[in-house]
Amino acid sequence: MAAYSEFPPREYRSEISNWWWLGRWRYLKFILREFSSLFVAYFLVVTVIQVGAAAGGPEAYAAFQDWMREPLMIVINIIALLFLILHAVTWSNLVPKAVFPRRRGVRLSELTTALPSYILWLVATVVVAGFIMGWK
Amino acid sequence: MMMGKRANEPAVWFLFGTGGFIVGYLLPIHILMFGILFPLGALEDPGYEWMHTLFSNPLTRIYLVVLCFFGFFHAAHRIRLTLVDLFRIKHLEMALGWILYTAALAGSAFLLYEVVSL
Repeated sequence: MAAYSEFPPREYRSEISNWWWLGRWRYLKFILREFSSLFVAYFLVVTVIQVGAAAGGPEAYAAFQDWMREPLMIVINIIALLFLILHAVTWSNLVPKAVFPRRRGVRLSELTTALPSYILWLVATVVVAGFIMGWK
Repeated sequence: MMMGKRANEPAVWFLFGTGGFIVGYLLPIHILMFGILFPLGALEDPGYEWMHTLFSNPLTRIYLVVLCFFGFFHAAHRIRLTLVDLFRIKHLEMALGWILYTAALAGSAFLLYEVVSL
């Protein structure tokens, strides 16, 4: 054990505020991107409620629809949609950071590498919309 | 570094990564239709009958379970990392993990129950 000293060295602690992410646009963008996860969880819970309402019968489903028609819910959903778009775009843009495909020995550009993810997003959106609307 | 503690990371990362793609591709259209366009009347709501028929389809049931299972895990993992970064509470990372992953599992299990009872 170290001998007692009158002036023990103190641990260095940097003072960081809980609002550190407001200081720079880069940090704010990072936190906004991460916050998308709250809205993912939120709308998955809404979906669980929706499926429960559909399982509960016509009245239960009508109550779900009424709930979605509340102005506050529409505002929250618009914000959630913006966060989900931010998530989908930033997530697709991560693809070129993880894989580096080559064609004839030449590395493809980041845009070309991210493109399949955007195409998949578009296709998935059209297919899901088609099923919801009952397109034949 | 304590390597032993990281043994479960690849599994969590697989759920997190896959979930990121799944919710990114599928949730925006769910929100746009059920949360904005149908409530506003901008697009005709297919209503209970069709949604019940659609949700009862075996493929849709699988779709819902996959969406919620991977999606809830994605959100749980990211919320955990965000809370740790935001409030610098590294010492609570394990406890947060337990709470959030359990919540994700509970949400998925509840959806599974609903889908089975449709």
